[in-house]
Amino acid sequence: MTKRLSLGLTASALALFVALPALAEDLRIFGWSGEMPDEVLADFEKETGIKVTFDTFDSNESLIAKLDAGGSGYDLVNPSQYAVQILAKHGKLAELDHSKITTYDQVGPTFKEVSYDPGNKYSLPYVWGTTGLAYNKTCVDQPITSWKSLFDEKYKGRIYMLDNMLAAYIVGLQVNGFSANSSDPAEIEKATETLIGQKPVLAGYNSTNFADLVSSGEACIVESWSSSVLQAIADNPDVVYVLPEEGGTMWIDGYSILTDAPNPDAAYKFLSYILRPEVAAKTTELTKTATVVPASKALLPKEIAENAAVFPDDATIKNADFILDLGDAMKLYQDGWTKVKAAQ
Amino acid sequence: MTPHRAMPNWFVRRFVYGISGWVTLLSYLFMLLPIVVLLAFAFNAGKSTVVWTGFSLKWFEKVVTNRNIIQALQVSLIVAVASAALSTMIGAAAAVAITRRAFPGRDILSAALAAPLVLPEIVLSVALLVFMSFAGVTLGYTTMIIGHILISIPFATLIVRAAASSLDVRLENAAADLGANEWQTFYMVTLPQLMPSILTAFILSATLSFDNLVMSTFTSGVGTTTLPLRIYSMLKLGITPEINALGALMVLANVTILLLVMSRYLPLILKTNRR
Repeated sequence: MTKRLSLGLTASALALFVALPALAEDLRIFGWSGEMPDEVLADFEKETGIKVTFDTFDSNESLIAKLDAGGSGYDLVNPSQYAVQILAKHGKLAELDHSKITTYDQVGPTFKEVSYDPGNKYSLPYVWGTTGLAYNKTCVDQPITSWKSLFDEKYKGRIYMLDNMLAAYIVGLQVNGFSANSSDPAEIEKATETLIGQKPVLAGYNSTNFADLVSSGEACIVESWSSSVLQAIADNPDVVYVLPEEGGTMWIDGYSILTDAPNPDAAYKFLSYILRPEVAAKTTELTKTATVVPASKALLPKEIAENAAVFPDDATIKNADFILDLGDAMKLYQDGWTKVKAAQ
Repeated sequence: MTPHRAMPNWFVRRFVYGISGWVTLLSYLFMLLPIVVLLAFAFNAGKSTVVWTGFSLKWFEKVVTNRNIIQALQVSLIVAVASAALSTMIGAAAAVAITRRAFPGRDILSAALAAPLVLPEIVLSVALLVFMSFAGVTLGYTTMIIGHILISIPFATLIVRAAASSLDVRLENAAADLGANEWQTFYMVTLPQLMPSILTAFILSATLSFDNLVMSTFTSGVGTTTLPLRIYSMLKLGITPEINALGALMVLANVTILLLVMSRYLPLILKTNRR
């Protein structure tokens, strides 16, 4: 028995060591979980015969760390706006050849001139959303329109903030009238004080089940990502999502081809595929996240196309800030955030 | 040392024994209650993990039909079995060498094998990632299995070493005396006695690998997203009962393995220890 067992184990271990990526046409994507539906990937595989491997990461930071180490083996990655800037600066992203993206004209004009990557040089925007606030109508007496409500004594112990440094600083900066992208040490310092001052009224920092909490009424007002509360809104009409009058922020997750991509042709085919209006519509329907393809809106069910949480109006979007690469100021944020988290 | 005054008997009986019982019970409750809640909400009909809306098995259905989860489970199992097998083999060989042979550098070897135990895992992981990319190795199964071996090898070595050092040398001497050569002695006398501890080391290593998150974060590559990595990235969209259902299945699998191993090997381990 011993002999057979050890032989079997040795054989299986050896087999794994020689297992290499298959040689058939492959596309390897490293992306956010839940932003690219399996159905779309399966349809793409069926249509093109290209086998897709889709791995997921948990944050832009771990994506950057992995790519910086080099030799990741992926073709396409899915960074958010500030991560595009950092990765492009590190020389990880290939310049996109727009002529190879056959459906490039489907991209909405506002998304072709995004400030973090003008002209979509390194990144093709795909899905986008906003960071604002969500509240439960049953526990507030008037509509909430401002970040200031997250500091209101009335809701003490029933307010949650996102447990994410950059997301928390959006509130800290904008409530003081600063840009969410500030790199001014004095402004960041003031925002840190504001966030520390907010702690007594907070029930906590939460970026996992805040939508649940606001739906059950356990929380009154929460700072929230638009995509995270949409299901709660569908289940419970008392939940409302708004972009605050101070602006809120907008995020875009796009696709970039790596400079060392083993199969850039398959990557271009994939990008051309997902920009088709019907594919974009399917993505929005399944993930409840808006895409950059305006033509897809007409193909969507009314309750999604007319949902202001998925598609905020243009004026609201104009008012929102982008979180960009903060460069050296990042250190100030990190120090401040440590103080905020340590404060009582 | 001055002898200290003995505590009265009633005090010991009432408080020390009484309290320690309660403390144990409460600690168990504290540790296990969250798991009970997790299991309960896996059967929730609604999408919430806070509000109970009714009984349903739909989340289990969702888990078993989710191709990403099944793929991640496959990766996790392959890495767990392979890394545990290798780490147990290396660990057992090292343990036998350290306890049975005197060779130069023995103390250094035994310390080096325990080093990953005291080094922060994240330091080890980053170092391995940097080394692998420096060496030009593509991240994937190979790098992740090597990483997991690093994590589990101290445990494998320690377990087998403890068993090896309690073996009776006279049995090996007797075998040699009866004409067995060194290999036969090892294969027919030493190894069978070590088998329970080797299997324990294997199971523990496999469990450590299966649960690992930090090392996997840094060493995973194309197509090798493990189950914990997948769950962690799913959290971005919030906790749904799907994660609870997956957790429930993992608890079930762990308990089953544990019971199987215990019913088969516990008597054997107890017998070995009694000698």
